[in-house]
This record gives sequence, structure tokens and C-alpha cells, in this order.
Amino acid sequence: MKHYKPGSSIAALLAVVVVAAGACGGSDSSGGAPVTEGGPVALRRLTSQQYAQSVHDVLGERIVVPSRIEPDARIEGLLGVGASFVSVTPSGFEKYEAAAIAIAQQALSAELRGANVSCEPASPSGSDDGCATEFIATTGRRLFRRALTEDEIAMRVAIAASSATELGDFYAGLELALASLLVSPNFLFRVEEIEADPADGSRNRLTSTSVATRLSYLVWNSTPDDELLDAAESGDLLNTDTLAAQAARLLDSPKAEAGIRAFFSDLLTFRRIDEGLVRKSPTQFPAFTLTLAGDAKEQTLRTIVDHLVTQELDLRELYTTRSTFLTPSLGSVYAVPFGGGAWGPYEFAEDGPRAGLLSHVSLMSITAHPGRSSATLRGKFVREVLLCQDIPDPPANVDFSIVADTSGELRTARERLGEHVTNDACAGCHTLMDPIGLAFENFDAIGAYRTQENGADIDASGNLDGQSYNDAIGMGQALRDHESLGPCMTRNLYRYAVGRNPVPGEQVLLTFLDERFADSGYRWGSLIDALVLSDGFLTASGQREAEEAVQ
Amino acid sequence: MKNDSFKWVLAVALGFAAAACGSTSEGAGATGGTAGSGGASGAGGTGAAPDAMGYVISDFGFLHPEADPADFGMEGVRGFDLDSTVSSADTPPCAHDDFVAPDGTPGIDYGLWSFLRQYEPLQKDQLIDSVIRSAVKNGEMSIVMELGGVDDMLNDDAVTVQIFSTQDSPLVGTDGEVLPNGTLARHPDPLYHSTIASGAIKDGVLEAGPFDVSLKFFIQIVDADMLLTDSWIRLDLGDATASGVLAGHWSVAQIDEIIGTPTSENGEAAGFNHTEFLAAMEAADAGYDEASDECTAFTTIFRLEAVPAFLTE
Amino acid sequence: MSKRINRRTILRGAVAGGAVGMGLPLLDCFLNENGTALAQGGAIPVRFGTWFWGCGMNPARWAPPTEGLGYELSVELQALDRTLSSGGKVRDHVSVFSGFDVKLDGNPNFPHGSGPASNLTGLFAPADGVFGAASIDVLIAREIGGATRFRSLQMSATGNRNHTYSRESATIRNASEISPMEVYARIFGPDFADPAAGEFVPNPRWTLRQSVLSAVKDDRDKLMSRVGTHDKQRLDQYFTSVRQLEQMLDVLLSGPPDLPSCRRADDPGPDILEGEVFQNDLDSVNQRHRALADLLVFALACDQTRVFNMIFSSGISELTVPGLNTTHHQLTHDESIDAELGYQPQATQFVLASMEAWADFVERLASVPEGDGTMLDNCLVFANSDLSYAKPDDVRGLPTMIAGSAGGRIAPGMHIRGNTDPVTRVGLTVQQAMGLPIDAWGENSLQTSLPVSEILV
Repeated sequence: MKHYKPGSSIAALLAVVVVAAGACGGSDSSGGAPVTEGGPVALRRLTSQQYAQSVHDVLGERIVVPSRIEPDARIEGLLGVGASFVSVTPSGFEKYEAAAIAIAQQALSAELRGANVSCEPASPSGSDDGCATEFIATTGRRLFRRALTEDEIAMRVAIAASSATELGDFYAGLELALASLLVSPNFLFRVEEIEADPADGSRNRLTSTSVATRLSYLVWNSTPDDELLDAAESGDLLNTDTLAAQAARLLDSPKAEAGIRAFFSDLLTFRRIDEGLVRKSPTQFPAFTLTLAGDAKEQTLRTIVDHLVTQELDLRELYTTRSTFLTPSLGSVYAVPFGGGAWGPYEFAEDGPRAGLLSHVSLMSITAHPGRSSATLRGKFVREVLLCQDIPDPPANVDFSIVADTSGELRTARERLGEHVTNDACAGCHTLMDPIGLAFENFDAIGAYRTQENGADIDASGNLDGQSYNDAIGMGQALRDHESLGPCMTRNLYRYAVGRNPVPGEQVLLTFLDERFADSGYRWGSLIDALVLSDGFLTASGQREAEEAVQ
Repeated sequence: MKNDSFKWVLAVALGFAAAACGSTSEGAGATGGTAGSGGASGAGGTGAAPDAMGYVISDFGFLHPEADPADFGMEGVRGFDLDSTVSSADTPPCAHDDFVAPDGTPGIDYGLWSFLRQYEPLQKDQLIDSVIRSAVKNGEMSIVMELGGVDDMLNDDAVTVQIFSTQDSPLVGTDGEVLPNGTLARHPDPLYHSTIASGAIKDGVLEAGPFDVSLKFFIQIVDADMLLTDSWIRLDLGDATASGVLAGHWSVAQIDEIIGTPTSENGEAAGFNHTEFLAAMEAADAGYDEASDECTAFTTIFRLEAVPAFLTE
Repeated sequence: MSKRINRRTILRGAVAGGAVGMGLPLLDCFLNENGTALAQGGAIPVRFGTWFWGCGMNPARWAPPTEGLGYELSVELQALDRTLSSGGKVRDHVSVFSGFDVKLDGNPNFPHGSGPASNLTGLFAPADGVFGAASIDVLIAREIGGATRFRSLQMSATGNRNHTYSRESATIRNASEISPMEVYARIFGPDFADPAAGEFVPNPRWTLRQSVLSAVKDDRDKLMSRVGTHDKQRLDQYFTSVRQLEQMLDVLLSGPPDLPSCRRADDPGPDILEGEVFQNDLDSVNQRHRALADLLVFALACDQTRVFNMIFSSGISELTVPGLNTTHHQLTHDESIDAELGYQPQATQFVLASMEAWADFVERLASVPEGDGTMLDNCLVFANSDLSYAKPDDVRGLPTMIAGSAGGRIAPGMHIRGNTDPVTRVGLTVQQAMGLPIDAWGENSLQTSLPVSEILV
């Protein structure tokens, strides 16, 4: 068995580095990127969203992709990092195979085969190696994100031929060949390959096809298109200008919305909503229907996309903006008039209690218990996810009775949580979390506004690392102004892009990216551009060698 | 012939006229075109009338006095003395006995109860009551209500009430009940806006009237209008809900259209046939028509509950 | 001659209706001369399963007051007092192990994590939620799971696929099935070889699917040469999974199982969703647990798998009841101990409910006749939890139980006190009963070479 060994490079890789307050000096923000070396690469299993999106992009939007294949793993807070550690279990593979067959049947059905197979077989009831080769080579390249080798093609042409003969149907034969592509590790895993950098043999860089794949999954959350693959296979993509142009092209594409949604869904743990794991007591919170939960997630994602992509606004203002989008279900929880039956833009009232993502039903529900709010979970979310600060797990053998007893003398969460800070064993961590979370106590377990708890007025005032506030709006402003907010987003996007935590040597790179981000006024596109062109994205120290015990 | 379609049986039970009904002749003047056009809004207070409060009806049905045993018989019916007379069965025209309110007020009118009480499907939680109760939740008979001029929820000597049909469906929660703070648009046709009732709030109880209430509904296959004339409303105003009764006059002709007329030989699913129904209608207690010397309407009481909502055009 | 007995009809009643066929005398037509094997000559398979409930119990109220056979039932184990239609009580088929400790040797007690990690691997938990190696069910599945269509089946009544204690390796988790509808489709869908379907005709696509898999295996060498050490391990796991699907297709090609109790399960229909998601109120969880257990029993009767894992509630138990604004787990920490009762009344209701669910599960296995007894006799079900006393997240005296006789290798129905012995003694016993050739198990203070010999036959 392997123990966690502090001091090993992997341990360092996994250690949660508290982002230093403010970017330290050291790199010149007006100059070019620092020369660094990216951390190690590893196989990255497609997330379920990436799997579905890739299938849709290659074989058509109308394909129904089976859900619940192999669950994604959240490691270090991101499914995007977990993807670098997971494998495929027996039951998972069984489901991948069933999904592959179901997808292949649809893709080659009489209805869709015209769009997916460019050639006509000599006979629809027998084999045709020429047409099979064309289909397998074309489709395989899009699925494997690189050209197939002759062997890889020949093997599948043989499957198509023998199956077509056995089943008396050319397309049924192609189905099996397509299924063999879809269950291949070359499709299920993104294989990041490295090669010696011709300009400096002591350094490793990602191959151009690996860069294309990184770029495409970062920006589109899906497989590269033919143009990007062409640029990769010609080697052009490794020229900075070409790479910048391709990155710009991908960012301008309508498919980029899926990419930014995927990142924020991952960061904000929205998968829990998709999987029905954000549960509320039906008797206490009858408004929390599946429709509402889905709308709540969508509200936040629409707000983010509109703010960062459509309006190109300052990322930090996501925590103060009153602009959002609503549905009638959301309107009822926010207790604001919103009719019409569909999505529409909405501006929270200037004198109202809501502003910023942290006043949304989505995040307030995710960071609450089924039956009550949780200042601790909310504070932990802000510290860990938005400020990249590590909060240790609670010690065993703690008596929580006073904190949780909502029927006793201590009527508000603030009174109950007072126990945390008067108890030494708790205070160390809880003083980091509870004061932040108490700012949101005006929002109940589904984010509905309240001014009292158990008949006592709620006091939502507090102080975030020196900046005081009176309520959630002030808290949002303090968060917006917090020196770690921008650097933490840079760090999270970086981890998502490369599928791992930064290694120590990459801090200088992150600092540079922070500065570029800040210089741009925290514009999303600038951060993506800087990241994609950075050494962290394009180079690697080598293959990841050790298996690590990680959650 | 047996028809095994439950839904169809329900439809028959309600005695659906196949055709959509227009408003009845008695509806003339019932729905003022101007009444529904105000820019009032709900409790959220973004509209022109900050003292206006919107509600959506969350439960509705005939008042069942026997629901509380103490109410059974002629006592304890929380209605109104609509004819301003303590009547008895020997005072023509439209002779009828009156009920007594829980507070002892005599003269409470609920003539239709003499018919309703006879048939099991019309009782509380039975077939037709259940259909009506779900109709206000599932959009088949959505009703909204606006209180105006409310400065004080406990005591206010000048408030107004207006009731509207809406084509929107209320939002329903995981417990199957109507959720508060939804947004619903008043019916675009002012025909389905009531006249404005004036009244007052005393100790948290609102009373207002008289007004004419015109509702549009489409329950299963029944597409119908319902008009209650010279109606009064009484509401207990709670923090988050309002509950009470709506009492008014319902014409025999419309009751016949909506409840009485069977559409097929299965028309007895409600427990009565048309002949029995027409016989029961002889007991009409209101709407005396001198020309024909007939009583043309029943006094009727509906119970209702409502939760806050935002009302829009 | 009397009317011919239709064996399938009887069994149908027995499996579907629980007790319907139970009162009948032993039917000779099921048995060979020895009365131990099935009429058609196939040996009755021995199965291994785990059954997990979250947040433990109250040791003083859970441990039976007496030891050995016919032990007296404690307050929290009253559920085992149920009488089985096949004879005896649930208690007579369930051995209880109290006072066996999860040793920590100074390693952290990750709340809700260290107990299962050590109990199921014999190793200390390397990190929260992480096991040190493959779990015991996987070790056993590697031994006995290869002959069946599914090497193992994982199910959870919690509505969360990530609730699983089955590990292929330290980091690779076998996800749980949560939907009865999906379980039915997976086991009893088109690939199920129904013995009632008449003459067996292999689906030609099964062979073709095997050729698809061999093509995938051809990708292996090239890929292996391009990745690092850790990725080689991950790919090994991937290709192991591929091989298992090949074996599954082999099993399919060999035709329907030759077992008299086998028939296609009834379709459970769409999942029942409370409030539109899988809720964790006791009623909903019990319904899902029963539905999943029913399907599992049919799958076992048809020898579709010999290894299973069933989770009733997760370690951080989310069980609740309507009107409660918190969960079982929260209550174990939050609820004060009632001064008069001496325990936490609200949290305890979930312990009792968990033991009732366990009794349900055992009863279901005992409702299927097999050989001269019931399916339960041919099972070894290892029930376990993440904690003993949950209020302080205690792992000393971790509660475990064993139901069934493992085809005669286990003597059932005893209470064994561990007196602080390592909990691994139970796990070692389980592995030896299931035929694994091991003499010792565990590391450091968790290491043992001493099985609970009282129950080993």
C-alpha cells in the first residue's frame, strides 16, 4: 500500500496551496510569459458531459446518448482533475459497450446514416471495404482526435466486413466497427502525448494533436473539429500565431458556450443538481421541484455566460451584479413578479436583498442542508472554491448538539454558531467559515429570503478578511474586492485546463496569468488566451509516474 | 354501453355541455371593462398601486357545512345574508329556510345546499369536489384575486376586492399545493374580470361586496363560464394566506349547463338524472322573476383559499 | 399417477410471493439423490454479498446480551426476531460480531471513512474516503465471479451512484446501481437468456461483439508504450474490464442457466421518485431497497452473479423522515442523549429501521427454495457499517454480521464477542469461508491469522 508521503513531488502536487495574498512581485506584468515547465501529463478520461458532447459533435445532435455510464470522480474539487485519476471498472465498461452499441445503431440508422457516411456501399446487404475504410478513417479521426494508424483502420474494416456478411447488412457491419471506436481507450481517454522540444531538447512539449485536444476540450468541452485537427496534423498549431488564431476561432464559435458552462458547472458542483443529489425536504420546501433545481442551475450559468462572454464584463462583478435571468418558478422563490412562462432577463431591484451569484437559488441550495441553511457550508464554499483557501475537515468526536438544535433557546444560526468560536477545538476553522456564511443567513435552505429565524431578527453583518459588511450584498462586494478572488479563478481554470493541481514551479506562471487577467480588467477571454499560450498549457515535465492515493 | 374511461365518466358526471357557453343574459354589466385594466401589482410592490395585493386561489369548492359537524343543519354556515331577510320556508316568493352563522347571525343564504347535500359525488373530497379542487391547481380553473387600498392588514375601513380568471397555471410544489409568489396574468378578456367590491377589514377579517364575479374554466372537456351575481366575499387575512368564502347568486340556467345536463345515458354518474335535477331546481331560493313568477337562481357559497401572487396584464 | 407437478409454477409463487411455495414439503423433483444438488446436475452456486448500513448503532443496546447459538436479542436487534416461512427465526441464520475493533495505530480516524476502509481491506485508510487496496468483495469476485454473466452487482438504495464501498483498487470505485428500472434492464433485458423462452438460440451479435472487444485489445500495446506508470495501471484496469465483458459474452453464448428457481424477474416499472428526485425518507429508501433486493434475488436464482454489494444507507447516512429538518447522520452528532432514556431517541429510530431492512433482506434470500433449503443457505452476506457509536464517530466495536451458511461452510446464528480483537478476524473468516487461500490478513494491529473458528465448519 502506498502512503501519502509529504515531500514527494506528488504530495506537493496535491497539497492545496493557499494562494498568496496578492500577486507577489517577481514577474514583469508588462512583459511576456515566464519560461516555465508544465507539470506531468496523464490520461484523462472523458467526463460524461465530454463523452456526450463529443458523440453529438461527431455523429449528430440527435443521437440520444445513454446517461449513467461510469460516474465521474471529483478530486481536489474538480471533475476535471478527477478525470486524470479514474479508470474504467467492469460495470463501467459494460455500460460503455452498451452505450457504444446504442449510439452506433442510431448513427447508422436509415435516418442518420446519410449524414454520417459519405460513401455509398456497393451493396447495402454486404461488405464494402472501400466505403467502410472511408467511414472508419473519417469518423475515427474525429473520435480519437488524431488520424488512425493503418492497423487501427484495417482491424475495424475487418470487423465491418465480417459483421456485414454475418448480418447481411453493410450498415450493421459499420455499427460494430463504430462501436469498436467508441469503446476504445483512444476515445474514452484523452491521451496527452509529449515529445522533446526541437528548440530545446531538454524540455518536453505536448504534441500538436495533444495541444489541439487540450484546447478543444477547454474551450468547447468537446472533440476538435476538422480544421483544428488539420492545423494540428500539419504541425502549424505549435506556432504561436496559429495557436492564438485557432484559440480565437474556437472562442468565437457558438460551441464555446458549452465550454464555459462546463467549467463553471464543474467548479460550482452543479453536477449534484443534475444527479438529483441536491435534496430538500419536500414538506418544508415544496417549492424545490426538479424544475426549480434545473432552472436555478441554468439561471446561474446564463448569468455567467452573459456576463463573461456576451457582455465581456469584469469577472469579479459576478458577485455583485444584479443582472440575471429568470423563469416563473425562480420568480416565485425570489418573490418577484416574473410571468410569461419562459426565460427572460431580469434585474434584481437596487434596494432589494439580492446581488451576485451567491444570492442565487442554485448556490444557496447547494450549500445548505436538506432542511436548513448552513453558514458553515456556505463559508467553506467561499473559502475553498472562490478564494482557494484550504479548510481542514472537522475533528472526530465533536458534540454538535448546540449548533444544530434549532428548537432550543438559541434561535438564530449566529447564536448557535457562537458555540464554534467559544470552543477552542472548533474556533480555528470555524472563524474562517461561519462569519462568511452568516452573511447569507437571510437566505434559507433553498435561497428564499427571510428576515427572521424562529422569530428572532437575523443579523447578517460580518467581516471578510478586513472588509466589513452588513448583509449578503456587502459580502458580495467584499468578495469582489478580495485580493484572492482573481488569482483563485486563474488557479481553478488552470487546474481544469491541465487536469491537475499546479506543481510548485508553476506558481510563477500562475502569478503571470493573474497579472494578465487583472490587466485586462478580469476579462474571461484574456485569461483563456494567456493560459492557452502559456508554457503550462504547452509543455510538460513528463508522464505522471506514481499512482497516488487520492479521494 | 359502458364507457371505461375514467376521465370521460368524470366529464359526464359534471354534465358537460358540449359547446362552449357564452356569458348568460344575467351577465350583462357583470364585468366592467375598466375594472381589470388597472396597473396594480402583487405584494412585491413594483407596480403602480403599492397598496394592491395579489393572490392566486389555491383551493376552491362548494362550502360543505357538514365538514364540521357543528355546522350541519342550519347553523354554523359562514355565509352572508344575501337577501337581507331572515327568511323561512313560508315566506314567498322563493321561500326558503336560512342558515345561522357561527357567530349567531341569522339569515345566512345557501339555497343550493339543499341540492348539493343530497348527492354523494358532490360531497367533500368526493368525485366532483376533487375535480374542482384539482382544477384550481392544474390550470383548468385558475383564479386570481386582487385586494386594493389596503393600508393595514388588521383594520382598514376602505378596501376593494376584484377577482379574475387567468389563463396561466399556478406553480405547484412537491406537496401538490399551490406555491406562493407566482406571477399570473389577469385574463385578457375583461369579461372574466369581476366588478370591484368595496369593503373593509376588521380584526383581520375582510368583507366586501356586492360584486359580480365571472369566471372562465375548462375542466376536462367542459368549457364554461360561471357568473355569480350580487356576491359577497369574506376573507381571513393571514401572514401568507387568505381563506374564506364567496357567496352569491348562481342562475338555475347556468347550474343546469354546468352540472345538471347530462350528455349521455351515463349522465347519472353524479348520482342524479336530469329529471331529478330539474325537480331539485324547483327549490331555487332567489332571482324571482315576476313575469314568469319563477325563482331563477340559487344562493351559493364557495369556500376558497389563496396565497400571494403577482398579477400582471 | 397424480397430476404432474409443475415445478416452475411452484417456484414462481415462491420467488414472487415469498411464502407461497414455502409450506410445501421438499419436492423431490428439485433434487438429485443426495438432496444437495439440483436436478439437472448443476451444483448450487455459493454467493457472497455485503450489506451496508450507515452510522452504526449504540453498542450497549445493540450487542446481544448472551453469546453463542440462540443468543438473546438486544433492543436494537429485535428485527432479527422475525420468523421465517422456511423455518426458524432470522436470528438463527445471522451471526452477530460485537466488540471487534478497527485498530488505528495512530493513523487518523477519518470520520465515516476509516471503518469501512479497514474492515473491507484490512489496511488503514490512506486518506479520507480512500482505501488502501481492493475491497474484500472484489477479492472474492476475482475468485468466484468469473463464471457468471456479471462478476458482481453493486446496488444502493440511497439514490447516489457514488455510494459504494466496492473498490477495484485504492482509487477505483465500482459505482452502484440506484434505479430498479435500470437494474432490471441490465440483468433481465434483451441479453437475458430466459430458460422459459424455449430452445436457446445464441444471438449472432454476441460473437460479433466479442470481435469488437478483441479489436480494442489490439490497441493495448501501442497505448501502453506511450503512457506513464500510473496510467499503465489505469489502462490495466481498463483492459481487465474489457476481459470481463468478453467473459460475460462467453457466459451468454453458453445458454440459459440450468437452475430450477430461475425465471425472468417481474419488470419493476418506472422508478418511484419522491418530490421528483430520489428522496431519502425511510419509506422511499425502503421501497427502493426492497425493489433492488427483489431483482437481486432473481439474479442470484438465475446465477447471473455470485457477488453483490447492497447499500441501504450511506456512511454519512442521509436517511430522514418527513417533518424532520435533518438527517440520520446529523442527528447522531446533534441530538442530545435523552437523560431518562439514556440514548438518542430520534437517531435510534434509524438504527432500528436499518436492522429491519437487514431482516427484510435476509428474509428475502430465505424465501427462495434451493436444494434442501433456501438460497440463504447458499449465501454468505457480510453486513457491516462505518461506525459503532456514531455520535463521536467511534470505530471500536465496529458492528458486523454474517447471514447464511455459505453452502455449508458457515455455522449460522451465533453471537461472538470480539473483546477488542481486530475486526479483520471477521473479514479473514469470510474470505476463508468463500474459499480464498489466505492464512492471514491485514496490516500491523489489523493483521490477524485467527479466523472466528466458532462459525467455520
